[in-house]
Amino acid sequence: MRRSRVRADWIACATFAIAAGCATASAKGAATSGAADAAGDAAADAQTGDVTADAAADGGSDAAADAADAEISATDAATDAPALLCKAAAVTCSDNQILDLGLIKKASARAITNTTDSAVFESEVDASAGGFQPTESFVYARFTSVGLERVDIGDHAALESMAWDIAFRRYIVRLNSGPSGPSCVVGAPLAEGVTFDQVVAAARSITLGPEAYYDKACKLVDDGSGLGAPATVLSPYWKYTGCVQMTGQVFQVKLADGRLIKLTFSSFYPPAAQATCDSTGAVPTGTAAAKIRLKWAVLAGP
Amino acid sequence: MTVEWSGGRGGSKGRACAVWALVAAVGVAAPAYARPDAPKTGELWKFATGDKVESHPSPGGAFRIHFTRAGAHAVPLADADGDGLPDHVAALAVVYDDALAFYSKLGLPWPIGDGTVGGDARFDVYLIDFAGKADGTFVQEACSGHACSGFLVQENDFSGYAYPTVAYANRVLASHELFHAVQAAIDTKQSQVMSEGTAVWATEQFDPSLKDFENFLPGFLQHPERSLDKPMPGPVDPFSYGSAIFFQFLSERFGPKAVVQLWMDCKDGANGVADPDWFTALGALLVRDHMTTFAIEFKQFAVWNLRTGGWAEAGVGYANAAKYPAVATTSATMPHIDDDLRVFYASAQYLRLPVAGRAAVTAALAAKTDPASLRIGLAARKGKQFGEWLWIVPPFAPPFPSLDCHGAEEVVVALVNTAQAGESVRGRLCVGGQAEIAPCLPPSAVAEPSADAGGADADPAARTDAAGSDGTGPDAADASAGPAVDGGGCAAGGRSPSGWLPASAVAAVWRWRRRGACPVPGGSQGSRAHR
Repeated sequence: MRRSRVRADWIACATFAIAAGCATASAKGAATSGAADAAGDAAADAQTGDVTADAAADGGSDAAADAADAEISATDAATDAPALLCKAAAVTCSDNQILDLGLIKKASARAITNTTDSAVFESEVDASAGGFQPTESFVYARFTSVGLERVDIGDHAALESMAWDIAFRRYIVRLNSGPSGPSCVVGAPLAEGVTFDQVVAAARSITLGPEAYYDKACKLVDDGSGLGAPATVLSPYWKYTGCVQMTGQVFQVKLADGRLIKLTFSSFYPPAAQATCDSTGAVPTGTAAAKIRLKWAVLAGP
Repeated sequence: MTVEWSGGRGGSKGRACAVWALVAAVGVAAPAYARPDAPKTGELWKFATGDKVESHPSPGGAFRIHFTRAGAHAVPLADADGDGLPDHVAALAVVYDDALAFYSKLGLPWPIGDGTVGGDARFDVYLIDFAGKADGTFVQEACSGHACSGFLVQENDFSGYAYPTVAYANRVLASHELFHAVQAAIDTKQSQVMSEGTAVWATEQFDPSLKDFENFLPGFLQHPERSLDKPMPGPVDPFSYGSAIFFQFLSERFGPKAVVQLWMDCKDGANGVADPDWFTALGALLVRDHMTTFAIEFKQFAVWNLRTGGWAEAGVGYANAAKYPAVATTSATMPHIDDDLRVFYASAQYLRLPVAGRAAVTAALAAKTDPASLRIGLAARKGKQFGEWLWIVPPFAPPFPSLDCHGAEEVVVALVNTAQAGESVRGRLCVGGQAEIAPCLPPSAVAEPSADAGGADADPAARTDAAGSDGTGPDAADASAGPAVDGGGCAAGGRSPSGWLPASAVAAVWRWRRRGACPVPGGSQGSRAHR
């Protein structure tokens, strides 16, 4: 029952357009890198997972070729949807994932709200999911020109849908790739200490990866929090020391249509309670939780 | 301030089997975890600096209760008999003695002794204020292989807890946590389902008047769709605690010693297995000791779980079924078509569908994965009365038998995956009259319907399990595989079977199945709502 959070270096040196030098980001557990190693092969092969910003910068020729072959289901093909860079890939470990994460068929009706200022969006997602022991689906969403938009889809259907980019439930945030979904939304944390405002363009050499929170034997790779949470690409946005603390980690995400996004998470609790949590490791009794606030913006290509 | 904490009993698992006299042989090493009365440790549960910690040996001689009379960790100080010892401590010591005697009588080993740690070789119990964050835990210390010694920490006074009385709480906690220590004498590497499920079961065996077992049952009965051996994710896992109902099932079917034997089969090296897993050991135990199979028993378990709460009936299923909560069911209307059926191994799902004037109802499956382990049971229900179960079994080939629904309020459908491992059974499920299940039939069956296929009262033969009114009966399909239409279990419940499936039909079934087709579109999706 004892809990501890393990921090370990995860990604390789990443250089930024504005952030000077070379740094290393961290994730919750050494298992994260192991997961990427173990599960990455199939996922990456299937979903063009290891997409580098450099590749995108030079025209993304490989990705463009993939896009030419893209097969988008009628359900997913919204009238104004841009071409996708990947085909839908078969999701592995779906049985285990449904059981391990407690996935549900019925779509969540929880709200997402957005505010914007100079192309920077602040989105609030009600990821409460019925409580500490979730009884509702993740809230699925896509990044649009008008903000983060909910996709009305349940957990089971989401495993076969290209329509969503990101999903939220309690402290877990998943991208649509790897075991999480059939798309090719990839991401990575930027160097520790880099702030959201410092990032003005896509990183040139950062390696973006797909979700890889199952190993080849379909065993869940957890994030080391002690809460049984999967080691997702975005897991390093929080840490657990008695409450869900924000790390301030900034991420770069590449969507299935090729857009690059920077994002960071500002709170899991209401702002005042979050500040208390971040400074003391506890929150007042009765504090509402899982109202996730994130800040994001589309980046220009490198 | 509060922190997110797993709550529960902090049930650790454990193992080892030896009475304390064997301590030396087990080779207990120095404790890696400091005792609650060790000063200046960083452990979570410990006495405060300056607390005067006393101890009391239990009358039976097996336990030593450590407590303090002052401060946050003070026990209730009432001393009605004036013997100088708080009655709370004296009574608790007796409860531990009684629980150990009970488990020992069942054939379980004593916890592994700890040498002189805690003052002597007695098993140590520390009474600490958990402040509502938990109510007790077994802490492993020294291990030999997967068998470990340890000690217990238990809430000091249960102030602010929901237990009806302190005496009640003591009986729950002592019997539950001590069982973890007993488990630790056997094997500490079993899953939470096994460790917590049997600990809750053990308390029920020790004192059936306690409601701890019943209180945990919703954790399982609200999620029968989960594989039995898969703990629920997250820091709180009600499923594992609630899985006690499975061990109660084993206990009522085969006697409590079946559960004891299951634990003994988990000991490293038992039956020649270096590091047994309980779920695997279970299958072997059922065959070896009870001449049955997991598939047969799990189907029975699924039926028993349906007959709880308001659907309990004397003589059917659990002895105390009426005191148990109802299992989760999904309400639907016929024709019911579910394109996304997914039934995990060792799990069950239940549908309830109003008859709505139908004289007969059937179910069909167009499988996307191997359905060999799936059983589809149908029973007509009126009030608490269930008709005989009609079990439709693989290969789920037409024609499908019908269940007579005359006079029934609704049809209850049980989807039971009797496998112990493997991929889920997925596909399209159809429930309705014979004419309404076309979306689940192969094209050949739709294009050339048999003479009675369209009639609501049609009763074609198909492979079924004969079943008694309580869902028992042979499960011939568990002993055979392949396309045989009748492996000895061809008997539709409710109405008599009409005959053998012609060989030509068998061939057609296999052609269809090998194509993996589920070709007939259409049919409306039934509305679904959880009860």
